[in-house]
Amino acid sequence: METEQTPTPNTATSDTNSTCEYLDAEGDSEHETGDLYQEADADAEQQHHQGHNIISEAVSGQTNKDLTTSVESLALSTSTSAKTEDSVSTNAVEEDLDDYQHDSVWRGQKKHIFILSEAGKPIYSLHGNEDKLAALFGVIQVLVSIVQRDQDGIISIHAGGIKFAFMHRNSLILVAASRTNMSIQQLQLQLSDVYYQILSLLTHSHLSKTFERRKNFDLRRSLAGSERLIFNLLANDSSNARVSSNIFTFLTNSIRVFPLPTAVRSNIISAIQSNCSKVKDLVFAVLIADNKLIALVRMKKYSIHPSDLRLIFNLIECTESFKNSPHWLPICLPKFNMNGFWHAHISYLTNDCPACLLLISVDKNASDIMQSVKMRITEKLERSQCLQAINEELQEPHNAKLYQQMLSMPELRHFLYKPKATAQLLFPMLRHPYKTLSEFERLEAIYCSLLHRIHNQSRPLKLIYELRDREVILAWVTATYELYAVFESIVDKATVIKYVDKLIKWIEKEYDVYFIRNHATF
Amino acid sequence: MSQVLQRVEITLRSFYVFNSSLSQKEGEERKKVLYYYPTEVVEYTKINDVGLSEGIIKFIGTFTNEDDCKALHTQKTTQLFYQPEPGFWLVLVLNVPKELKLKDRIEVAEYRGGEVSDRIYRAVLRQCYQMYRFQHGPMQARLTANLAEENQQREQQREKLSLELHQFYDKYLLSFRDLASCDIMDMLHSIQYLALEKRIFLRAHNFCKLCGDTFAGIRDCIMLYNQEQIICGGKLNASDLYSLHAYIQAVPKGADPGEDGAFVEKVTPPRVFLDLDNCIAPFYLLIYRALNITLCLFVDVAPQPEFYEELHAYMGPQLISLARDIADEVSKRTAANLGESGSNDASSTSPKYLFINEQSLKHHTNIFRHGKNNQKSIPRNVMSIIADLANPIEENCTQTTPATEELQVKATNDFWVVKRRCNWRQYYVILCKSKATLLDVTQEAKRIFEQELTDDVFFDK
Repeated sequence: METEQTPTPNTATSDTNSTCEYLDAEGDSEHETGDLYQEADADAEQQHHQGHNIISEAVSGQTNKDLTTSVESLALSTSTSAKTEDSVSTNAVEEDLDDYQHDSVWRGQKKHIFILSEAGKPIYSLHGNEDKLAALFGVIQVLVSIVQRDQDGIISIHAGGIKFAFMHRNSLILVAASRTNMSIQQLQLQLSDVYYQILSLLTHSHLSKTFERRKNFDLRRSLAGSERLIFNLLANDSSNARVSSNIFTFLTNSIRVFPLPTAVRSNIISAIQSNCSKVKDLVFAVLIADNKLIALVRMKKYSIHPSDLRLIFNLIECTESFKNSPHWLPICLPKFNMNGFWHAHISYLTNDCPACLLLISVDKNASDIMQSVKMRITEKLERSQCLQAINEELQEPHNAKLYQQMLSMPELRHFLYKPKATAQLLFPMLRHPYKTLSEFERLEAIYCSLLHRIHNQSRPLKLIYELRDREVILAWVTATYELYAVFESIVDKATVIKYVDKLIKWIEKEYDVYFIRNHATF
Repeated sequence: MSQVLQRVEITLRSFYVFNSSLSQKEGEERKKVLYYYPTEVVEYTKINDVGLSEGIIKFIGTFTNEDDCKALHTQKTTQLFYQPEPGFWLVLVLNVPKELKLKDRIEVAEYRGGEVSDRIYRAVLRQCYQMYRFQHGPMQARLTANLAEENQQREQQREKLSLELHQFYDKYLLSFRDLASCDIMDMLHSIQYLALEKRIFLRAHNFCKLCGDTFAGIRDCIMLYNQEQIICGGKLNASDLYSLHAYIQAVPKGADPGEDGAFVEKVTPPRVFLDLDNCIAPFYLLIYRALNITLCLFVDVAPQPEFYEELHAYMGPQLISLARDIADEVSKRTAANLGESGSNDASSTSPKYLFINEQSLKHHTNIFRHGKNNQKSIPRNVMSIIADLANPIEENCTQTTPATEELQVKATNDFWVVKRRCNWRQYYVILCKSKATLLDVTQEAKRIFEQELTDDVFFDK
């Protein structure tokens, strides 16, 4: 059994490790099985196609099983014909790669992600048409297999100005190229997020079986329509010319909590508990707003790994159609059980409250029950003014109390605070100067390098204090928290220490507004 | 949970030199492999390994024009790449440290590639080339035959170069010192200078300059103390000086010159290649010893016997007297230092410092002051942290303005490293204080900076 399944008081054990978790992500046992799971076996294929269509097309409830099976058999025949075509047109393919090689925009991208099968079949490329990159995928496949011949594996390649991280798992080869400050470990964490995203769509066992049957299978057909989920995971950082705080949760392997007064949050939790406790086969209830966690209520002995939660956030963030109507779809939480599907009822609470509720059940026929549970929870939250409280917070451009606090420390530009006991992260809104892309890139680079040095596997650090041209930066890891802070460059050391003290005291006082200590059970 | 049964440190797996342009036809792949260690490996493996390196270089070429592949990391190895001359690649393949552990009664090997610092071993690789070039000159200079026509001559030249590489590297790799203990000093290629009082330093300096002025054939003159510490470095660039320093240490002491100075080798003085005024040219190296002083003279043409005699007559008496005065000064300093810092200086908890001048590559440190055997006084992780923090000194320093930085880190074993960098100089202070605060450490480091930076050795004279 997985460590994540330990009851709450011990979540510390799994969470403390979570920052370094990506370092040994490889070590995940492949045969973990939750008792509650149904094995994705005989009808797994159909399930996943269902899930898939629903997720990708986001059409409601039912799907035509006959249609999906016929698509599958059609796919079979095209794959064989595609193969013969390939062998004829290798020259053309190489010319295509030449196209990209001379395409300075493509070459100069700050980040590339390539996914291919062990047989060298293109699956995904963040930039450019992966078909046109077939020659490059071929080279990657050859390099990986040459090194594998010595019972070894490529981890990374380093060159002037660019580095590559490799990951080879379960018939998939994932490669990240980066021109940013991101370390190999951070790139690998990103690759593992993408890998888990794929597992979440297909499950591990389905993936293995597919490639066992046909080494040359074109996985793009199974992933069609879900590229946006992969893209959104990868477009988290500034490489996509976007100023987005999502990168911080990814870098720290954590999630954000929706700030709420303690009383409101406990009202919400008890509303969920009272309506869910008697519902059979309900495993998790997750309430999310604005990409932040409002509440997570779980069955005893079960908990969700932060990386699985990030996949849930990603799914909600990417799927507009959840706003229109409730959905019922299969979902695999790979850190929990990479081989089975659960079923999620996903819906926004009301038309005026953009909080999204997921009810995750073992029973694939529980759609109607979940819908009524959701209605009852919503009613109760409405009556107890909780929806209003959520809306009030959502209407603010940023959390008012945190903003106040920041104003009282003018030289503190930004910080990340992560309690060791939970994989949750607190940080303030981006302020001047980090609102422009180029400055934000610098901030991102600062955090990448701080986190990399603090969590360096072979020589970790407890503290970094650095005076740079444009800012003063501090990283501090204690027994209870991790703090990373960025100050104006003119600040002196005594002020830094004073502010850090003040900030820590304030967070400790307001802890329950910004963090969830223990996830309640039904 | 798990117990370490055995730890295997970094070891050399292979080292090779290749040039892809040397094999134009299929079936002639072996021709591009100019050197491969271990020599006894079957050709098939050599060609495959070179093939993988070529593949990696080509792969990178898809994304960048810079042709600047630096390293490949696999679970079991770290492979460093270096292209010192267009087309010529040197690759150093290391087995990463390995720990055999007992997990649930099963023996598992854990590879600890993260402990290998690329920067340090890339510098080691760079020195592999520099040492070769110092003794044999650039590789490309050996392959002068025209590509199209003189096929046979070309092949002869290739074979000759390959032979030369074999003769050199078979010996050089044997002398590879314990790879696991390579550290920041190996990375920066810096050299400790002898601390001398200003007046006596000027005497030594003037002596070197006068030698060059008096004898037209002498291009440069370097003076060392005990074959180890540099007294004056002449015009040599930092990298050649480092190679010379390494070379001199390997030269046998020769017969004791007694009360007189003497040349170590007069019949066939070694030829070395120096990069003077951006042009790599051969020179004859004459080594002269007088007491503790070793004098290295570089001359353009092979000297005649009369030249040696003239030089000996000129230098002998002056150098002997200088050597005596320097020896006096050194013993005085050592006594003073011992009295001042007491005997606990070598313990791991006393403050340590390291100052490096990035331009001259002089360093000044108390880390190795009590002999190299004591260097374990600083834990490995701290040495690696310094290597992470250090600004690498690459062959082509492209930065125009030196950055100013100040940085403090605390390792998990309570060692603090304080770094300052300004004006092309890097300063490190290493303290072991678990209870100290950020401000305490700042104070303490400041005190050490002020105390040690007055040392005139570190400033340009």
